Amino acid sequence: MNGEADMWFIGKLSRDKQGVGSIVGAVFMLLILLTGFTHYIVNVNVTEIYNEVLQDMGELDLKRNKENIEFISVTFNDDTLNITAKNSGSYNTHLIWLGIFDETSSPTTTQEYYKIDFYVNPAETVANILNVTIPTFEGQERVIQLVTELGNTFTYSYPEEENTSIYDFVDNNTSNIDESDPSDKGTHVFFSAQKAGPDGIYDNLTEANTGTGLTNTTLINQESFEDDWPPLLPSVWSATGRWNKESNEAYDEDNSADFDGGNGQAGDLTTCDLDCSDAEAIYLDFWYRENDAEANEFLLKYFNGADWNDIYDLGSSESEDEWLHYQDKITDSQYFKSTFKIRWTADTNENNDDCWVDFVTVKKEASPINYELDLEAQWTSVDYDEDNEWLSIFCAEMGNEPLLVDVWNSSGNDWQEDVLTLSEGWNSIDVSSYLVSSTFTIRFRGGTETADTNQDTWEIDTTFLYLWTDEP
Amino acid sequence: MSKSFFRDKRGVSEIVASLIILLIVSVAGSVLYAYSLSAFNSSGSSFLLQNNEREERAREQLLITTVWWNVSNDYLNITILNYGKIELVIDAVYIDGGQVLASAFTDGKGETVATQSLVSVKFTSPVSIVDGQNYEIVAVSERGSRYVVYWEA
Repeated sequence: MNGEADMWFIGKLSRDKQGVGSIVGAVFMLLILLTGFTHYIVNVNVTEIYNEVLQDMGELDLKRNKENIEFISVTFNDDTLNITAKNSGSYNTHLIWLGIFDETSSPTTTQEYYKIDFYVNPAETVANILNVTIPTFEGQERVIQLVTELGNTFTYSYPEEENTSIYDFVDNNTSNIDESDPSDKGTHVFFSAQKAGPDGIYDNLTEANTGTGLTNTTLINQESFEDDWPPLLPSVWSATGRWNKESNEAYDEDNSADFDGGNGQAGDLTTCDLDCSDAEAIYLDFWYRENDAEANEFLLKYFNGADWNDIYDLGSSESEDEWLHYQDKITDSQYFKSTFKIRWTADTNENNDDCWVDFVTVKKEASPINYELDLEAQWTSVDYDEDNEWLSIFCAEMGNEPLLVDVWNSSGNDWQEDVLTLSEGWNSIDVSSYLVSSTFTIRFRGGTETADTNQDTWEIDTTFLYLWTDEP
Repeated sequence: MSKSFFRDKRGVSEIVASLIILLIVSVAGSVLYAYSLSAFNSSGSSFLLQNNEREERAREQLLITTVWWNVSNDYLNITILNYGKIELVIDAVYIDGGQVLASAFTDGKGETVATQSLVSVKFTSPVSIVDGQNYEIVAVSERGSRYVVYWEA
């Protein structure tokens, strides 16, 4: 009993020991795998951080490549250095150092850097880019260097070398050299955009409606019902009931519109739609006649776009069997609709309640629409004695109507018209024959200036004079 | 009795064998784990170190803004801008491939340059400077970043 019990116990123990060995091995394997995985995770994180750094530095390089500073002028005012510069790049630029170098063969001073702290926005021109005092070097040769935070340097030779080429951007849009009234037709959205570029920043020129006064337009012209029935002008009329053209009575020529009355007979004579949406008044003129028609049997009605309104009881007249003249000036704006119509309604109860209409004229009085563009742009202080003088305009999206450029000819005191017809992209023309003084004026003008019912817009990126003298 | 004894003997032998196997597994596992830990640490440390160096080098940016040759004492004076995101130290300068000796420096070498700061590195050129000639000047930082400029004397 004891021996068998021992053997059972030892056998069980043996199986337990084998299990422990496997567990120990598995634990070590897990530890090794866990360690490896931990290192893998750490390496992945470190690599990600490195990649982020590379990306950040790459973005800085991109920004750096798009940074550009142009020196506009370097002058001394009361021994104080005044640097005016323009950021013609795409990003805000932080100027951090100003270098002034004497590069003559026998420099009197050392090369100096001065700490500055100046931010210049894109397209911004700023003066006095200094917050330090610089010893004067007025009249002496120096190289001036601006250093940016992103690691660009921009240099300028002082004093300014004689320019051999100048890009002179347009100065103002306030001139009225031809003393026209009004001085401008149309609008600029952002004239300053023309003073730099091309940089994708546009000035939109938009035509203005210059239509003035009132004009009469005839919608129905002395309709006397001689031809088609119902009439077709300006488009098809409608007639119901006993309305017809007949020759038994006529105010003009041979026929009139006639309704033969009768017990329970009714019908309408209706004009086509008359577009009076732009009207300020409508004039109606016609002749009518009735025989035995009583009140409310012969009515004049107007349509206001929604409802028919009774206007006048033509049957209430006591003057029968003679032609009567009806005239009306409609000023009620409810009828100034594109679907305005006129209707003659006959609703009779006896024979001989006859009605006639003849010689119908309808006119509308409206302000004309005419979109025009006439915008001046002017340069002042132009260097007008260079050998080559070109006007350059860069355009983006253009309207359907041509956009023309006229140049003011100061010798003839008039416009030299159509020197350029602008299209998308660069447009250049030699203007040396017109550029004879320090003031130069051009005019943007629309190609269609009469009866132009379409309002056009043109995008102008930049406008400048390119002036240069060829090297000898 | 004797059967029981033999059976007991065989039982003891299994225990010993099991313990020995357990010992072997434990020792082998410990050795393998220690080795793998050492290997992982070694490669991991190496990777981290290399990556750290690469990252610092990527953040390091230098620019030679100007070169000035002082004819009177024959010193070359180069001004270097640190426009990176980490401070740097100028370690060496080469003129047309010739290294400027440590003893030839009078200023700037080994000086820590903060970001957005300038350092003026002054030295005697290892090659003679001739007016009007072009020279390749290379500035190298301690981390190994370099900037090359072609300068006309």
